[in-house]
Amino acid sequence: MRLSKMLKMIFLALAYIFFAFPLYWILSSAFKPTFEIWGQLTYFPQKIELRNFIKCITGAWGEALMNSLIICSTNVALCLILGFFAAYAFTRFKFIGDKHLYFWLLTNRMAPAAAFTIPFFGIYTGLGLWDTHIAVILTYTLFNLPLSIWLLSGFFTNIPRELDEAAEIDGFKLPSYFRRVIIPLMKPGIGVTIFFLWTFSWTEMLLASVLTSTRAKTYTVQLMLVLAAMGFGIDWGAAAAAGLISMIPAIVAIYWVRRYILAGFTFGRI
Amino acid sequence: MRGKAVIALLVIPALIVVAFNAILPVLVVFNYSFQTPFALIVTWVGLDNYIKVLRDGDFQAALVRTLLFAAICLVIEIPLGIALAELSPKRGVLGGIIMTMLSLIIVIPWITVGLIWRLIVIERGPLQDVLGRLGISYTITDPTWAFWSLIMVDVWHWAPLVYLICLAGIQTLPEPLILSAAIDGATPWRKFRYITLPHIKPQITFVTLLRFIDALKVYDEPWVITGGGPGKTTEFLSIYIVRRSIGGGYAMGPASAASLVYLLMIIVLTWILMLVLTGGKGLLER
Repeated sequence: MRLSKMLKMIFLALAYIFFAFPLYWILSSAFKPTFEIWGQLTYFPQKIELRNFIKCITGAWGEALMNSLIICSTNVALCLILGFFAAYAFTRFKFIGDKHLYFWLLTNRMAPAAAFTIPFFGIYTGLGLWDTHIAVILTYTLFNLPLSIWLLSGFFTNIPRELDEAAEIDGFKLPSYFRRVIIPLMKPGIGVTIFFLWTFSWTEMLLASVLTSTRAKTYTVQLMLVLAAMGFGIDWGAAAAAGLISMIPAIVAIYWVRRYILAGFTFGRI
Repeated sequence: MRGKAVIALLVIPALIVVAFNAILPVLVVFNYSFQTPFALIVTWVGLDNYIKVLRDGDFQAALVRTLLFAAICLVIEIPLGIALAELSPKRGVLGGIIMTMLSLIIVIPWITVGLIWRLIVIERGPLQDVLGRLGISYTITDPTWAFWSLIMVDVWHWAPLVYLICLAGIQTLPEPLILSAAIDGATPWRKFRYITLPHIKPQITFVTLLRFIDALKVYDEPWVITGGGPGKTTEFLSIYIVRRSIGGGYAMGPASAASLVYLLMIIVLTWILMLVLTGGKGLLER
């Protein structure tokens, strides 16, 4: 009994160090000047510098940050609204082929971005939408809209159907019923959904890198371009600071939905 | 039923958007795979692209490597995630810190995960330093080390997801079940084996499928950390396709054929794995 407890402690300690160290490493690297990253290995920054961060929110970085914010928020709004109505219909009504449609929607999460790079490039170049925000926003619905429908329908099944009937008897019209009854009840579900939608559109890089070049370049693509310099001339300090900045929305989002994250995984019909 | 029009109004917009992004590209890439797309004169080449790709040694190697990568990742991540969910403190300050840290790791942009780890596995970086002190000579320029480093990165990034989903399952364990197990004097192992594990089986099934699909799709991290190298020794299917096409090769026809093979492979393998995991019932059976 004693031994098993000790083994458990050792296992957990090693695991936590393994998971925590990289987070510490990006944090400390972001404050190091590039020559310190390249030069002698140091476990603590010799001199705290903020220059890296200033570099990462101005110029090309700043534009990319703006693009990312525009693209993510529009995509999240689009997927949330379309997904909300569709999820409501899927959980409340029976219609021909509903199960097949639902499953087909979900299978789109399987689509590997790499296999879609060529056709997306072809389609959006053909439409004259290449290197625009619209192209990226629409593309991201490929994986985000199915996710939105799937998560929200999990939460909808928790709202008793009798509520719909009661509302109908009370003479509620569908729009006001949605606004005054359903949406307040769905708040946790909406929060969790926004969290996941935002995460996936914020972190995507491959499709964005194919669909944009200068005008609609996202933050992850900008980071990719800097890293593409391969070996020589990479500004590691700036890259590390940019990496840290790219984690901020995630940190904010986690703080915001921390109470609902676990609920999201259980209600979401998993 | 006033429903019909309402249902259509609710569902059709979503379907149109997904169809535009899901069906149209598959048709387009299907069309490309029999041609010389984006060329000055587009010609029909029949199955040539498929023959070219399937005979390409790089493609075969990337295919095998991708499958191997996904299999190894699953074998490590799923047990590790379950163990973390079972053994980690669930309440108190420490529990909160652990949960926040592990959730944070999941939502870091993949390219940033690549960057973080590149700074760790880099020549004269901390990993080389620590392993060097233990008498192990580690270098990312060795193909075997490079491959296993990428697996380590994937475990770091995704074992927390397994943890979080299993934790969600564990927290819905009915209170009486835990109590009666405690009264019967069940050992922690027996309690885990006969109560927890059966209870969280749906979560395990789900996360195994999710991880399998995503491991087959891996792109960003290897791209940043090894760039598919040294040589082509860590080139996965996704990297192969991009390198052959938009990434510089511009062999759009063969790359389109490779894309379709890749897509089909993921769908078929996921389908098989789903049937195996659910005992042939499928996911939507309730």
